[in-house]
Amino acid sequence: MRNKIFFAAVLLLAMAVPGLASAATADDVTRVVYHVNQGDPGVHMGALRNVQNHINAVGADGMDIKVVMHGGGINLLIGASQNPDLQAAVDSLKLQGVDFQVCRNTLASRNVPLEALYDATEADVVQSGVAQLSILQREGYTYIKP
Amino acid sequence: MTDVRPSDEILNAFVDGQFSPEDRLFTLKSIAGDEGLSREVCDMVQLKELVAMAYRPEVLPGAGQERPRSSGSWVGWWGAAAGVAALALAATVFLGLDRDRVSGTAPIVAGDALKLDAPHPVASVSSDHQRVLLHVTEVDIVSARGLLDDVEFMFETALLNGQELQVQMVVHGIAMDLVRADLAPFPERMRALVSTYPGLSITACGQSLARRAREEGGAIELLPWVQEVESGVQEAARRQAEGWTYIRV
Repeated sequence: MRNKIFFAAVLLLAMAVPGLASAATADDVTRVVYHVNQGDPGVHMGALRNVQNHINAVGADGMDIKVVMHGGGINLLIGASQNPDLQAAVDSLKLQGVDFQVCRNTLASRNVPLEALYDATEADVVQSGVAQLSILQREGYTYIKP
Repeated sequence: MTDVRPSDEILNAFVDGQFSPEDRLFTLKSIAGDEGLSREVCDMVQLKELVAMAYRPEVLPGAGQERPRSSGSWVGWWGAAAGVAALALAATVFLGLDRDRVSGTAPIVAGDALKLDAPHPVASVSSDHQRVLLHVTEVDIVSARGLLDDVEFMFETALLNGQELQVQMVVHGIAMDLVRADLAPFPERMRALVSTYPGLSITACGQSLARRAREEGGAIELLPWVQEVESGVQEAARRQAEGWTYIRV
């Protein structure tokens, strides 16, 4: 009898543990973080193209993509407020569920007001871009530096 | 200069080690003579190592059991009920493998497999222990200041949350000036960070250093609180293989 209870417990645990695992890393969702820290507009356009190609390859439904910008990388959203091509690319990716996150430390050290960034709100700001990259990777996001 | 530049095909063959010793030496000479080219080859070697790592046989489903260390922090709290947990985990590994086999073997999935295949659930790396490798290659002075702010922020956050944090900066390429005794823009700030946070280490790529020394015709001294490692890319690859989080800045 005790054996049976023991095995039932083992079985239950065995079922529960993969459940936990998928709660943490949900297999059916591809989580990716793109890291942008360069100020070069060519890099920005290239990075957004990378993200779009990635979505084209995998499908927007199964994807959770974040673009984390810090340092010169915040120029991507500053540029998007003037450059219609960049703006269109950002709009289109956002419609497909891509999150754009900016580093508060960078905004502060460069004296850039949030309003200078295209379509960014307080919800898009993280305290530290580098720390955010570390946190997201620990949450199961794959790191890509375009 | 540009007229003797080897083709991409030659460079790739060089990186892949497909040459005879004489050809290799010849290519090596032309690479060593051109700084831009050396950097390019360095990047190619790194890319190759990273790709190789993504496809390492032991992270693919089926061979994962031999990995010595767990990155699966979600199992940490099962540790107490060791016997039961071990059995449960054996089952997890089995089920996890199964699921991975179904979902394919792309690198992203291989990463998941690494987590699921964790053989020793008594996590040697718990969720309270973070290890981050900062690969510092393209940093100018303005962004370097920001980077040090970020490092400080990470340590402060870890302290607040009672987490253990290790950060290793591996500096090479054009970022090398940051750690040179003669050129470092803010050596004191670095010294203060290293002495305040024992989890922080700053290392410099020995190969970049040697190349700079050759170019400048004299030994280059590093800041005393910076250690030299044999090769920056090798260090970056090794740390990733050990489960460190990788961030390139």
